[in-house]
Amino acid sequence: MSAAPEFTPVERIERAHAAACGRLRGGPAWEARRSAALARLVAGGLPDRRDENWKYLDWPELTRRRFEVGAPAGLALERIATLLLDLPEAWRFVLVDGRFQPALSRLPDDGSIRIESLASAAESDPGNVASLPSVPGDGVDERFALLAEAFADDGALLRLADGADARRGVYLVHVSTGESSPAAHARVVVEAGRDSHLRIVEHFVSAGAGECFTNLTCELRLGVGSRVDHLRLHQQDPAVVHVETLLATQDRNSAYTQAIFAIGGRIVRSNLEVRLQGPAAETRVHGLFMVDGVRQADLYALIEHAAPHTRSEQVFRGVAADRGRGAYNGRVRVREDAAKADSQQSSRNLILSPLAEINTRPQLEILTDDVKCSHGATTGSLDADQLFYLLSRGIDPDTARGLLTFAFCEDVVAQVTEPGLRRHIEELVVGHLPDRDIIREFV
Amino acid sequence: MASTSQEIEAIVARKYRHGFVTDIESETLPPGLDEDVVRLISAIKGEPQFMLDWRLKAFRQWSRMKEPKWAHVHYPPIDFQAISYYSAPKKKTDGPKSLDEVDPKLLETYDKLGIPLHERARLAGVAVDAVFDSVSVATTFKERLAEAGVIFCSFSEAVKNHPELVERYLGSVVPIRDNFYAALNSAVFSDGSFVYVPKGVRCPMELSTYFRINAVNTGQFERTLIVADEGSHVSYLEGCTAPMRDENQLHAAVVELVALDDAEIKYSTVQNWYPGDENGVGGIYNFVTKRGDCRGRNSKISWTQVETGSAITWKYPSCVLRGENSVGEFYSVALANNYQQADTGTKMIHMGRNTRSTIVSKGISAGHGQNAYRGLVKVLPGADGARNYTQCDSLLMGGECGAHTFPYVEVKNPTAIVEHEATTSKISEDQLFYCLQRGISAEDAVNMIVNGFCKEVFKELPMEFAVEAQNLLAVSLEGAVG
Repeated sequence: MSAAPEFTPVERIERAHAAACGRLRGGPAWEARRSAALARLVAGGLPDRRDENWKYLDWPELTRRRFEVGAPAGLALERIATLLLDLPEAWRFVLVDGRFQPALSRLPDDGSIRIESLASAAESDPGNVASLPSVPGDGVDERFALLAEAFADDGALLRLADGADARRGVYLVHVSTGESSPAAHARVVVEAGRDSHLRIVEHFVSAGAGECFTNLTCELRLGVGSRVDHLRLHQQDPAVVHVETLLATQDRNSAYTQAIFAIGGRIVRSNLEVRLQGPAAETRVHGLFMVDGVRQADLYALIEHAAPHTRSEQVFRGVAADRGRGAYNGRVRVREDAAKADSQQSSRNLILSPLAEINTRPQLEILTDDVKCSHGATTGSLDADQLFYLLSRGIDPDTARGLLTFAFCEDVVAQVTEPGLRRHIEELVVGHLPDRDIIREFV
Repeated sequence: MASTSQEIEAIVARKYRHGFVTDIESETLPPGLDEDVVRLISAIKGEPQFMLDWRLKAFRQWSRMKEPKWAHVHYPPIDFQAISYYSAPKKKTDGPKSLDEVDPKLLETYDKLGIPLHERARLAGVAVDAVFDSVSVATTFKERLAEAGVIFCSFSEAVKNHPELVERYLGSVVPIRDNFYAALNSAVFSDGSFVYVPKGVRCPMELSTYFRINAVNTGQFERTLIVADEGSHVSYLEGCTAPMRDENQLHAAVVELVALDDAEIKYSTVQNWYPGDENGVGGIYNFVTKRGDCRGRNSKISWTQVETGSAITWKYPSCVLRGENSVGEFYSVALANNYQQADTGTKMIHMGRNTRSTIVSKGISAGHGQNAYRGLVKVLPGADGARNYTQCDSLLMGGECGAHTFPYVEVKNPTAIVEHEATTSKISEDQLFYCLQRGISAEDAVNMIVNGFCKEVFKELPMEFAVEAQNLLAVSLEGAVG
């Protein structure tokens, strides 16, 4: 299973790339892009624990994984279908091991909302791929985006015309099987036109228990006055290592909201970089991680205010139990010309066991004076007074702790407005608490 | 070489007197650093073998290390081979002959700070009899300290007279491989202060480098070691509010504090080295490693700093809270005006049970100044019941300055409670308006608001220092308003 130890991860990536070369789709134009991305990745290397933004990541576990992509194989689609959430309103786009599965998908026929597979877009017109910008990769935090670009031969392309209304939502599912392929790399590109409105629910699930590595790059471009509400739910098998890179740029008056739930997988590492480059653009990011067993969540968010009157808010909650490790690394950068910028960061964390670990770094880099920025971070255990209150009402200690932990998570869960989805996430949260059956009666 | 080193030693040991003439060239080593230079420094100072071994070990370590690049500061590369690593105390006759010869701008600053006349002369490096006042004051203080059993002397004297204490504690808090500048300092440090407070003694007065003879030219690589034995208490003041005349651009000092059971050390710093001119030309690079080790139960180490000088400040006074119930505190005001850059903060490492720490950091940025708070609060698995509270506020004045906050919180214990909060804002228009409409000038109003902003830190300073620190802020902010 594990690769020969004499190769560095980058060397193994090169070998995996050479092996996968013939199998990847998309024609010579795309092949050239992949090779260029690989060359940049090899030149710059992967980050490691000496890089400040990567120091808390469980590198031995990550580099133990194989990076190569397998050939498309026959899949048990019925089994995968059972993993999908029932969101009747939404369109559905399913990627299995990074490749589009039309049989499971349900796409709009509305001309103003185009959702298609990157591979088929490339086949129908090679210009579709050529027009995609190549990912930035000069910064050490974007190297995994290069890795995705070097291997991906499919993904999702969402294009909203000016004024398009996609509030029905797009349910984007990433399924990893761990069987046909030890790794999956995919790209998601979202282009929201002027004054368009999009809801996306991204769902990460596993259809097998194999150890695998999944890597996703998601690029979002928000046009003037557009709005994208993005929900990301990580619910993979505890053997999956997942890395994702989200790069968003926002034009004037646009709004981006994200709610990320890292409740699954062996490792979930999320890099979010939002650039508020138009005046009055706004971003709100809510995140919740729950780590138990030996799991790890490592959430990184950089929000750059590059225009006046921009606003951002980050609210992160973390719960670490057993030997779980959680990290939040949030950065707000206010450029010289971003007068009247307003930014808030909040990171609150619970440690529930002596072997659990929380690392939190809310950072501010401010280069002008007319701003309002603040952050707060706390780490501790449950409040003794609250616990006492519940105990004095005859609730046993385990249930009381479970209830308080559930309430703690509600700060972020409450951001989910769709009732069915919210119910599902609450179920997931409760599933990680002691005395779950009793708690279900309460909530 | 032994005979030359003895000769030099004799010269160095001789007391300064009028008309004393020596060949300057022979006392200043040529630029460059290698093992021979380290050996020579040790020989000049007549150090015992353990010191030489220690310095050589540090030098070899340093040769393998790379300059740190992570701090939020920018400066041209330093050529470590272009620095002279030893210079015997300068001839006092080199300085100005009287206050009349001193730069009037400097005198004006002293005036604003309210510094007594005889001190002004000493600070400006004037070689006149007025200096003797403070010397005689110092001598009487020395007698009182000796009565209490407190050892307070220069590092060289400590190596000669108390080698067992030096050998036992030197490098036990900041090991030679700690960081690039600490390793460099360990290899070449010229002098510094040594304090030992015996068991159960409460030091009868505030100790200050100011009162130590030979303190003026301790050079760019200063080493301070303070040991507070069981149940003792000491308060130490470092630096001075007045701008110091200084030719060295790079300063890499190391300060080590050791607090044993029930001991308390309070360490206050006011740093006002030359910050460079309005265009950011010149100025001191201040790369300091300061760390306190709360080794014993119920021990306490408190750092208070007011950093207004230096072109670049790179400084993280830290506490290792090893002993049960030990307490660490850090109060800081850092100001960056013109083109100054400050990257400063603290580390609180909680190792023992029920250890507590408080961090209050106030950063002020004006002009093109860049001010960064960088702090680490780390709670290790054994630190049951650890508690930390951190507050760091930044005040921005003008659209071209920067304020940055880089806190690290690493917790590995479920019973620990760690809180961190930070705000960044400019001077409130409302506060300013309130002052102006009561007839207070804009400059006075800003000074008042800034002093209010810093109050939590100033109240930790010894009283006479606190008054000077307030004036100092006003002087340092001159021209930043309006």
